[in-house]
Amino acid sequence: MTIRQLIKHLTQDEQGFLYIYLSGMYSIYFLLLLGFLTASGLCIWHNAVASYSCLTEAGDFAMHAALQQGITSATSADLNDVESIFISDFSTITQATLNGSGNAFEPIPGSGSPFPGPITINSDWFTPESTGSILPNGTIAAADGFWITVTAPVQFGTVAWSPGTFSMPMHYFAEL
Amino acid sequence: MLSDSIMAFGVFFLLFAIVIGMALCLGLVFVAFGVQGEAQSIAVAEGRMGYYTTDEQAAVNQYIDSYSQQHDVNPQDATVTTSNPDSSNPAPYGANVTATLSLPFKFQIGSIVTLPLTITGNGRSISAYVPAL
Repeated sequence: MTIRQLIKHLTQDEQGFLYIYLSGMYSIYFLLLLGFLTASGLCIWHNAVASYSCLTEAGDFAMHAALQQGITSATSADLNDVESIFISDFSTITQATLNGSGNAFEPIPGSGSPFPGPITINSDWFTPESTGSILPNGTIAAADGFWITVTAPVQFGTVAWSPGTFSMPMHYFAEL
Repeated sequence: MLSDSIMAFGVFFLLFAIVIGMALCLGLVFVAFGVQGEAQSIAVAEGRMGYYTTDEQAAVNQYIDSYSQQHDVNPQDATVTTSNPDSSNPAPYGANVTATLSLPFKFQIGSIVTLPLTITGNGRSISAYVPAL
């Protein structure tokens, strides 16, 4: 049987043979790709959980400090005071400083900041919410507080060939 | 015909290898998330009192002991590093406190292939310590 006859035989009479072969190969490629994507996703998730605790800790501490200064309700009048307290605490815990234009926290190089790049904020990143109002994530505020939104970069991993960073929004409702 | 059977066994072997590898990695992921949470709780307790208290040390040692029994590792290999380890040097109000917890993990298949790893969690908090008047 020549090669030509073999190919003709396989493609016309034994089509199932080719499909089984291909499905075996492609299922392995698919599972390898799935494993790679799952591992990347879990790495990002793990690093994001570690980074997110910076936001929650700074938010809780800022609300505690605001209460000690006599701020007991989340109103627009108290917004600037609480925002400046939170900026100070968030800068401390992330080892970053708010830049001149006020739209990003720049990490201080060599300070051991957990964030690999600047943490950007919008103009409405710090909004007061009173008790009973519906928060942007759909839940109801159990107490007065502030809804904080930052867009933080997260490392893929801590290995040298890490492909870069992944930017994700982080929300936290800090209750007074 | 022979190539068919070899290919079938090879494909099954590779599929089993991938599935077993993913199952092992899942255990690693659970441990990594647990260690991260424990490191964060150490940092929170440290931030509340300004230093790594003996009560928290006892709780962490209990965690390390139960972890070591579950995962069959030596509890002496676990290390806890905190920014303010004792009461003589508490962190002032508003200062950064950090905690690092490193636990050993045996990545093993049966009893022959054993790959020792160290899993590290980093916790951060802010000190709320106010000195007594």
